[in-house]
Amino acid sequence: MGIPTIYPTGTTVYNPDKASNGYTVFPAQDYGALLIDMNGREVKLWKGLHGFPNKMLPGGHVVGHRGMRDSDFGYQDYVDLIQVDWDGNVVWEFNQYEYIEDPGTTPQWMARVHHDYQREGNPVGYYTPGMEPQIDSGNTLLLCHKNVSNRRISDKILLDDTIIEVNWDGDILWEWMLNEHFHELGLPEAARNVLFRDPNIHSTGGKGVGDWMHLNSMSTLGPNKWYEQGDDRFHPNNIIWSSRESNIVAIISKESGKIVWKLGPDYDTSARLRELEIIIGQHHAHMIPYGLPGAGNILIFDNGGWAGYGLPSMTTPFGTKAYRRDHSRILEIDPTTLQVVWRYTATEAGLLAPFLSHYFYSPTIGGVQRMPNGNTVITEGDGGRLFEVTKDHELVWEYISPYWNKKSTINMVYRAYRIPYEWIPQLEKPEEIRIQRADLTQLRMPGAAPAGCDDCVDVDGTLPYNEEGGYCVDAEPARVEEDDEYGVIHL
Amino acid sequence: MSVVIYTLPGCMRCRIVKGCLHENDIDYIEKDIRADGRDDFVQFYRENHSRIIRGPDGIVFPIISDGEVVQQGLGKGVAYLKYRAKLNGYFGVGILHHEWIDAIHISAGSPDYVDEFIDVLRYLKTKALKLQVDTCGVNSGALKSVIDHKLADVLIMDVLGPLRLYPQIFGRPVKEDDIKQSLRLLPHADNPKLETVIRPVKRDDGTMSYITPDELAEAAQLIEEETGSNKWHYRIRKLHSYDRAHDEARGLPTVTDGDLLRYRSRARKYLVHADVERMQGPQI
Repeated sequence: MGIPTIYPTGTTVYNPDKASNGYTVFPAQDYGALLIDMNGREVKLWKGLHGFPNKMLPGGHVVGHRGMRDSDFGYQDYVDLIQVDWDGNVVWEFNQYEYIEDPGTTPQWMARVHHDYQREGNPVGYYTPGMEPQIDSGNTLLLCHKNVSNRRISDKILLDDTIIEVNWDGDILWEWMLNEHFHELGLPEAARNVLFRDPNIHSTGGKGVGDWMHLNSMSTLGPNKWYEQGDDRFHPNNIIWSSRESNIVAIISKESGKIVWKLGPDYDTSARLRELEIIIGQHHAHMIPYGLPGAGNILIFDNGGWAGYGLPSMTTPFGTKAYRRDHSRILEIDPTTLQVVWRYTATEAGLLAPFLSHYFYSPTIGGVQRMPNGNTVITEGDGGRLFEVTKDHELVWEYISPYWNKKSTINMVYRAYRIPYEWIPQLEKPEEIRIQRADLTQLRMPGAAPAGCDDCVDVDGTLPYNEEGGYCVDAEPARVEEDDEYGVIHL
Repeated sequence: MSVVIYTLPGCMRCRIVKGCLHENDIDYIEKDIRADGRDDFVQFYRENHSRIIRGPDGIVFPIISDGEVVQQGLGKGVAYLKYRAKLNGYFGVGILHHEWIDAIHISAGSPDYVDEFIDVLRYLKTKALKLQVDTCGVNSGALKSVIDHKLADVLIMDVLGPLRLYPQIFGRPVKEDDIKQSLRLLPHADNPKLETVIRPVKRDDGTMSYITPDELAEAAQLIEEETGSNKWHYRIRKLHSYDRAHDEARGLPTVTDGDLLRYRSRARKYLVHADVERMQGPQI
């Protein structure tokens, strides 16, 4: 988000008639798991509860973490996953994935969970009619870390991404490790060479580990029309994940562990992919659950920023973070045709592209949630901006997090979720007060002069201003050739 | 004694066994199965195929025969040439390549011939070989000698299960103190590894079933108590096709990866670094 020095925080836009009204939960920087109503009133804080992300469960339960492993020894390793009730009591927890003995610290079990988890009953972790996550039983899927050595990938120690399924008692029932599927990723030779030399090394523990794929979301597909139509790739138990570092979104078979559907890392092998354009550093890729508008399509927060392994160039001397874009996109994609069904970019926001495309931009985090009324709640995370748009792209709610970290450098929000009122029986339904969009031409700080000049003169011969045009950069998108029906590319 | 030795050209292990034949003044006839000895080996294999083991990479050479006894592989060959049947059980046919010699089974040999066993291991070490030695805890005296003489480059202790199941799994009575003593020796070894194979057990009612997660936990508890540490990198694995117990599992359901994880959960109560063997990729 391109932002000025001064701007309001809290709720800035709210149309109760068009918004999907409810509570919103998000991890507020250095504060805790925060629940707000549509007007931004803070109705509940689970103080100090970390969220990578925080999610709510019916009955006023919240899920999060007690904290993160010392970054001297780990990278984005959260020590546990805990479920907390309205009163702050821990009603479920898991940490027994790896026993960690970091120098100078008390040895302890750690989940090493990061970026995502899912409780049985709901495939994606947000409100879906008829698919409520279980609160006192059921299995939980966790996205975790494990250090591995695999010389087919790199001669460096790899921070591998794993997915585990644990039951209510904390027993691990299923484990999947990404490095064992390296050959299924379809990385071209140039990318493999770069990856071998530098698998996205982070300095931890005095050695460094290669966060080679950096998975940042993981969810099950749940019941869907594709599977009902006979397409086994979309078995409800299959799992979709997003890899920031490789620009890959993939679905794996829960049964075999193999990749059965994949988007990326190449986006130029068909006209459809060229039309889609490369997805870079994406987050929160998931299948819209049954019962919500767009069910079966894949929603993606396509961050842009910098990601992917590729050929060295003047902007990437070693071929790391090889692909770059200075704005974000929300894409809703039909997974069988790769056609973009719906999108939200700066253009749909009413901003002139490409000049102001960066006004919608979160290069490192982001989230997206489809609502029952067809709206979409978006976490433009790096700027701490949460907002909701209708299917027609109208902005109907906006909130800017007022919580910066200790150094006051960032108010980022990893991912926010909208919660229906009925999930929080402890609270009376709050008052919903409309907030008109401010007229920026008149909005002033105290002491600032109003717009308008009292001393105006006419200049003879001046021409009227053009409505648009005359800019230094061509705003026309590149033309994409169509493939014919047999998949032949016209050159 | 006159011996026929079947060899492959350029086979380092074959050369070592031939050297051992020379050193022991044993006459022998060499048959290179890639040259003139091919037809003779085909005939020999036809007559003795039940005594020749075909491993995952094919038939291991050399093979020696004195007309009655057939010995296959380097370890078994050298042991037989130096001490005849005394060392039966100590050496098997391995699967490792290059300088590594495996299938050296402490627990399958006789405690009466520990000195002879150690002598053979020393002989192999003089040939710049690396030895992977295994034990299930039986014959702790031999284990102590191996450790004292630093003869094992890798030492694997396969804890068969809880002590109460050892006789059924091992196939004969065992002394519990023998197993415990072996566990207590492990911290003194250079590179010890601990594992348990999820193998079938003949139950008191005559049925066969795999050891259970709770029984594995008992084994893990035994390890913790006897070694004084809960930090062992303890591996839990399925039976491999070359494991001796593999045939006993016929008719039993296959142990799945998910099953292994349940075993791991139980074991981690006592051994915090317990993990399952990954079939597709290495871990650290």
